[in-house]
Amino acid sequence: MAIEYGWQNRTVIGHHQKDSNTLELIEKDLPILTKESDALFLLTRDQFFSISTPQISNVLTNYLKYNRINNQVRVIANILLMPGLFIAVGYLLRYLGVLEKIEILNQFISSNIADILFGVSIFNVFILWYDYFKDKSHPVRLPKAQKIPLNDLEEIKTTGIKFGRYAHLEAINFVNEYTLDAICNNTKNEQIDTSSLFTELFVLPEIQEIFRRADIKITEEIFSKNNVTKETLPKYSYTAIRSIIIYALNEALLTSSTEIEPKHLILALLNVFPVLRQTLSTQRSSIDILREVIRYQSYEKDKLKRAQHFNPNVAYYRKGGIAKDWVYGYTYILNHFTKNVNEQVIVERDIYGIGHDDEIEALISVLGKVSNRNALFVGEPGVGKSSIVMGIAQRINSGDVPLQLKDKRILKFDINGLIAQSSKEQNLEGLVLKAMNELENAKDVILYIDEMQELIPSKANESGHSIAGILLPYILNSKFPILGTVNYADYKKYFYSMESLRQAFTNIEIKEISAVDALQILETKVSQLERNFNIYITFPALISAVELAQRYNKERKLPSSAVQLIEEACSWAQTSGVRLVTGEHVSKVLSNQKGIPIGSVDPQDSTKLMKLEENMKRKIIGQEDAIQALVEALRRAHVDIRNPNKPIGTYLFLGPTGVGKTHISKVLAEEYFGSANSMIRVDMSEYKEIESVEKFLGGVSDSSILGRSSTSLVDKIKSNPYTVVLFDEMEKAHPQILDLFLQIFDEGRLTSTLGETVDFTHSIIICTSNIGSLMLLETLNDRNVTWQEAKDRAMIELKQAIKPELLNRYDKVLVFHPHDIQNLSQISELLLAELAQRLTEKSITLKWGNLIPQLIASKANDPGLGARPIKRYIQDNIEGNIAKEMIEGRVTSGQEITVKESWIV
Amino acid sequence: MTQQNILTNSQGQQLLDESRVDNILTIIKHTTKEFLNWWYVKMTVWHLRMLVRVSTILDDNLSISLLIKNFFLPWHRDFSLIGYVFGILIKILFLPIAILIYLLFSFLYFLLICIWVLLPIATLIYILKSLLGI
Repeated sequence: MAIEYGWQNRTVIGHHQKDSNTLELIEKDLPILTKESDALFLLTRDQFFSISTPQISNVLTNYLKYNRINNQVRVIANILLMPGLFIAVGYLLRYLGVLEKIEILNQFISSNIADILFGVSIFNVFILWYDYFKDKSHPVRLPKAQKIPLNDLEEIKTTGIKFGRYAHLEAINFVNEYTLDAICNNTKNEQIDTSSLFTELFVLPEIQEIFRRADIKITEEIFSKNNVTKETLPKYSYTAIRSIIIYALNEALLTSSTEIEPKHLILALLNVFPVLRQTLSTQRSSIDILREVIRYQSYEKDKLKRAQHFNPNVAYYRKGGIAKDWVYGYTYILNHFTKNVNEQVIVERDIYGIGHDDEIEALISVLGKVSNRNALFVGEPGVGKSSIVMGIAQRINSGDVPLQLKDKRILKFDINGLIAQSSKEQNLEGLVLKAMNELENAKDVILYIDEMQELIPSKANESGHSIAGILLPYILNSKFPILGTVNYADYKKYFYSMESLRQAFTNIEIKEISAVDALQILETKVSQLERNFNIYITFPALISAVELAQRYNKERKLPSSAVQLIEEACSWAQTSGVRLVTGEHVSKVLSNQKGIPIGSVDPQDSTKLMKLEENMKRKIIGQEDAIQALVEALRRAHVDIRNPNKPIGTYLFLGPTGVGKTHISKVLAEEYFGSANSMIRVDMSEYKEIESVEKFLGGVSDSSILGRSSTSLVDKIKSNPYTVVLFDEMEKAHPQILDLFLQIFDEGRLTSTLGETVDFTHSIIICTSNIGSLMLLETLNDRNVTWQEAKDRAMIELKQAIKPELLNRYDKVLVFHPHDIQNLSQISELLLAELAQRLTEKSITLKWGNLIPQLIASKANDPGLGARPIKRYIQDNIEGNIAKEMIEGRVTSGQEITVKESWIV
Repeated sequence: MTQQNILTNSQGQQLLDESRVDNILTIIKHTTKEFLNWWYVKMTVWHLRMLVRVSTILDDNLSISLLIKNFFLPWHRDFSLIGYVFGILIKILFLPIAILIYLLFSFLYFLLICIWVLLPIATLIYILKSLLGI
């Protein structure tokens, strides 16, 4: 699940061919245009950027000359500053009367020459002041590149550009001096050397930092291996600089930078030259990651700037000042069982509400209303419901809210605090009344109640407190705004039945944020995590955390799942002595947690997979097709080329009893998932009736803990989604239950009766059925019936019994061979080996002759019952006799025992 | 995608000057012009904006507008006689001090702007006066 970075549709690059007066948009490969008649341009939603050849020629002619003269002026100004400093000291000493004793100095300081020198020095201060502050006081600032509406894009492509609707800006004005330096230094004889430009940029410390953050380690050797030479990065006419600057501008706009810096120039070069892109790919990186790193840096810079209240270029929001509390009421009692969220966010210094802009806007509009100002956030746990409240608190603190929310305090209600306080005062009702009066009178309080369901009487009774009944009437008729949070399951369970409560609140549905928003949240935590754990976090680690959390931690939602994963990876890195956390480390941590291979193809895991087929064949006799199909599915899953929204594999095993359908599933669970016990087996004959649908979905009627059996399929899958799920004898289930399989097979999920989503995308689903067994067994009894004929007839019967839409959704229907006598003999051998293994634990060695397995097979063979009679036969005849000999003391520890033919015959 | 261009004006502007720079005099002329523009136009406007910002921050931190707007509101919304009297009394005592601080700092910053504008001229006059005195 790759992250959608949202670079698309923010900018459009094109060129105007003046010769033919045509316009062409550049959509894929970025060309270097050198023809003077080709004019490049870049469009954003509201701006039109262009660059011309005379501008470039002007820069090349003037920039270095101006720079040189400016440098000289700077040196002269510094030199001329010195006498001024001495004279200033002299003036001071003269004022203090010290100089009167030193006649020469006194005369000089009192002379006009000293005054002139002092005046000139002061003027030099102005020059240096100008030199240092001219760019800082009036910095250039690129506009934000907003998404271009699709309609506008379509219009540009079909009818051309309506120039009048855009503000025209010159790209060259946004190029900073370091970028101009780099371009001018590498342009000689009217030719720009892209190879030397790249080399010069690549070694800059800020570029090296970007590459380090992106976990890219490029050496000279890697460059030469990828054919990065002077031939592949050639010299161009100086007119090519226009293309490079426009592409760098594109990067600056996409990464929310304020000007075109050397890092944008190097990104442009990486984007233009295929050999450089190839070099990035060999490092398992991309332009996207580098852009994200630069965007992160721009964000950090912007964050620092936002705190500068005395900078007139930064917006200032009023906060109320020292006397703001005077105009609002006291909340003495309320303070005992509430926490001030506004103060909490100041202390924690995190950034809240990322990715929930729409919800925050909706909340602001609800809170800004005259009546019914209560809002209820409904969403899955971990989607960021509390984060939105904190985001609002942060905006109130900064003053960036409408008038109705200015100076408001958000107080988080603490139900346990109220219970504790009421036990002291012995009068809960009186306490609540006083608190509610304070709330109504204060006028600056927004009450925030987390887990709102605790105030619903039915839930409160479950939790064992009686506050709900007292508090609820005040909440229903509140004259102050209330914010509440509740998850879907509780909303459905407790709020549906309370019409009055539902009417009192405006519901705001909180959706899981996008992966790119989750990535931005992780980015805000980077500096804090690095400080805490004394490590360095690379961007691939953050990206892996988001992607893997989205894929493997479906029981939790973004961003909390990704935050938890990156924190665990950081903690692991600290304890393991790792200083640079990469994507592989995050995969490793998750892999350790889940007990399955995740991420890059580990050589050890690959060997395990290569040997899986071999190992399974050793334990399973005569079912090569089924083994092959399962192993192939696991290989696809391992190298990540399977569909991530479906189970790893869905198979229907068809065959008579005793052919090893269940056994193969157990062996698979043992070999791949580590333990045969991790297999979830569901006997579908238990779900024959229509009423059993609810039981299958973890129904309320099946209640014990939290409204359902703790061992239902839903619970088992939730606690261990990395497993083999075996639906035994599926044809016996009610057709409505079989319909649920459609959702599982298609979307890899199942919605329980409580509205929870259960994830099957990491499971192998195996259904078994005895349909067509009689036909398959005919091949054993009737030599005229071939295996293919029997199989076809069994499939016809299967198609009649199972709906085609379900049958169609299996990855493969595997028909198991009934065991012939040879298979049974091999199975006997295997079972004897298992018995021998068990006896080894008691230091007894079991031996048997070559004929013994064949004898067992022929004796126990019961056509139609498969391998089960063999098992029983060995149990009765071999195990029974060994037990007898052990009890009689004829065999003791350290001895050898041989299977006797007499035991069988 | 190729199409007829409907752009009518894409001439653009020159970075430094229309002409190619060949001599030091042009550079000095240009730099002096830029310096004067920065000192007297750009920075003066910047200082005026700063004056507005300083007065906004002072007003906000001293809660002057807020208290004037809510002058007759009782102390901590205690709608009793004592609340009303105490609230108005406190505001009568606090507001003059706050307004004085506000005016003082705003005036000081305004003075700074005046000094800023006069500084280069004053320095030049100082140098000229000293030169004439030799």
